[in-house]
This record gives sequence, structure tokens and C-alpha cells, in this order.
Amino acid sequence: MYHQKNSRRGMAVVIVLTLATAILILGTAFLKTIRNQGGRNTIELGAIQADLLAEGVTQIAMLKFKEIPGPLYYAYVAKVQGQTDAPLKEYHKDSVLAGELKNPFAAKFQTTYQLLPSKMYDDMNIKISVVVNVTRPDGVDYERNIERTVSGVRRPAF
Amino acid sequence: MRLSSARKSTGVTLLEIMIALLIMTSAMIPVASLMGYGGRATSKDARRIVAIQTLDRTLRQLLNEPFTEIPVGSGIKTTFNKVELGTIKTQAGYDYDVELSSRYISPVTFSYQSVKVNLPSFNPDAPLASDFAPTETISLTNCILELIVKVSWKEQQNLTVDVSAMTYRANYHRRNG
Repeated sequence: MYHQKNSRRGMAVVIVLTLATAILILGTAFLKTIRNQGGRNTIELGAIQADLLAEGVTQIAMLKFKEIPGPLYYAYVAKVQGQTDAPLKEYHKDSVLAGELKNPFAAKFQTTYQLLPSKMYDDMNIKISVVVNVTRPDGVDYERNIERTVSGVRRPAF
Repeated sequence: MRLSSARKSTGVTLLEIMIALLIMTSAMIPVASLMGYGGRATSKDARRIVAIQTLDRTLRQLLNEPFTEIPVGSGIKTTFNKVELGTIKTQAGYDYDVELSSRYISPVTFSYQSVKVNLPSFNPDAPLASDFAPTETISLTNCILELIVKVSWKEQQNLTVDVSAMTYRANYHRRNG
């Protein structure tokens, strides 16, 4: 009887210690969640930077296609027919279409033109793909790929 | 008398309660400060998210504006058309400073190889390497704008932080250059 009474002594401390440990574990998990939240915001900024840069480079690619569509058409046909791929490579070489940025953030970008079924002097359909790699502030690379399909139809001047 | 003595030795003593309270308090103090830290971190994140959204909205708006109406210069803080610049107060009560810096990428040079379509041997369905002329370039002036938007705001202790992004805007309706 005396032994049973004695074993109950100190139970409150045991219960409180268990509760305190549980609270500390929950607190640590909470702290981890907060820290990860900050990381997610950085990811979101990297995604938006890459997306907007890709949109901009797509505009430049569309401007080039609008100004000089013929060389792209023949360069693509020559490559597909297995004659030469040099003219198509030349068409992709401009630093405004394939280059890198250092300010306001570090990024690399690459543009690719793909000819869809088209007939020269009638209509031209192309797909422009821009791949952007943004280096996030924490040093991790983030990639974004944007594709735009452009249809050009030759209309009579009068 | 015997019953009273038995009751006396069961239950928790004052000393036990005091020790338990002490342990509980020392465990709750860091947890309470963690809650405060969590609240501050959440507010900080919320401010950053709103700043990123403002940055995205401003640049997308700029991509939709007529090319000729986009002002050129650095540190532009004057609102034009639908593009809100300068100090913006959000519904959440945060103040942001939105700044546009724009400049022409000029002249922009595009390289290509034209095709000698007048050659008798030229076949438009399978051009040969010899049908292509050496590399040529075309230079365009004032046709591409580089647009950088910076959104800055103040954090605690008046610390200014900012986020920025950039894009390009091309003029598809150029007449010369």
C-alpha cells in the first residue's frame, strides 16, 4: 500500500514534461514552416522574372520574323531537306535572342524558331520558343519556357 | 484518524505543482516569442507577395501599352495611361514606390542569310547551301525598349527593400529606321 502511494508521487512533473516536449516539437515545426514560406516567395519572384523576360524576348523574336521572314523560311526548308543548317543557325545567333543578363538579375535565354506547315509568299506559321534560366538570389537556377505561335498571311496591298 | 492520514499522503504536493509550473513556464516563454516571430514573418511575407504582384501587374500592363506612349528615361514615377507608377497604397495598407526605367536597345542588329532566288538552279523546295548569300545584317533603331520596374517598400526599422524585373517591348509598327 505504501509503495503504491509512493509511485504516484511526481506524476505532475512527468505529465508537464511530456506536454512541454510536445509544445516544443510543435514550435519547431512552426518555425520550419515560417522559414519555408520565405523560400517560396523567392521562387515566385524568380518565376515572374523569368516569365516576363521570356515575354520580352518573344517580342524581339516576333519583330525579327516580321522584318525578315523569307530567310527563315528557306533556312528551315534547307535544314529539313538535309542540305545545310548553317543559315538557320545564323538566324538564331543574335545576342538579343540568345544571350545573358547580369542586371537587374542574372539570367540566360535562348530562342528557337520552328516552321509549321507554311507556303512561302502565301502564309507563314511559326512557333517561337524562348527558354529562360534565371539564377535565384539563393543561387538556385529556375527555368521557364514560353512558346508562341505566330501566323503571318500575305495580304494584297490594294 | 486512519482515513485522514491516508488522504494526506495521496494527490500532488504544493512542491510538485510549483516545479510543474516552473517547467511549463520555461517551455511556454520561447513558444510565445515564436508566435510573435511568426506573426512578424507572416506580415513581412505578405508585404513581399503584394510587392511581387505589383511588379508583375505593372510590367504586364507595360507590355500592353502602345509602344510610342511608353516614356523613356530612368526613375520614372509618373502614372501614364493604365500604368500606375510612383507611390501606391494597397488595400492592405502598405505603401510601395513603383519606378520605371526604360531605354532603347538601339541599334538592334539582326543577322540572316538571304537566298539567291534568281539563280537558275534554285529550287524553293530544297535550297542548297550554295543558294544562300553570305551573312547580312539589318539594323533597326528605336524599335526595342528595355523596361525595368523596381518596387520598393519599407520594412521594420525603416529598412528599404525592393524587388525588380525586366522585359522588352518591340515596335511592330515601325515606319522607318
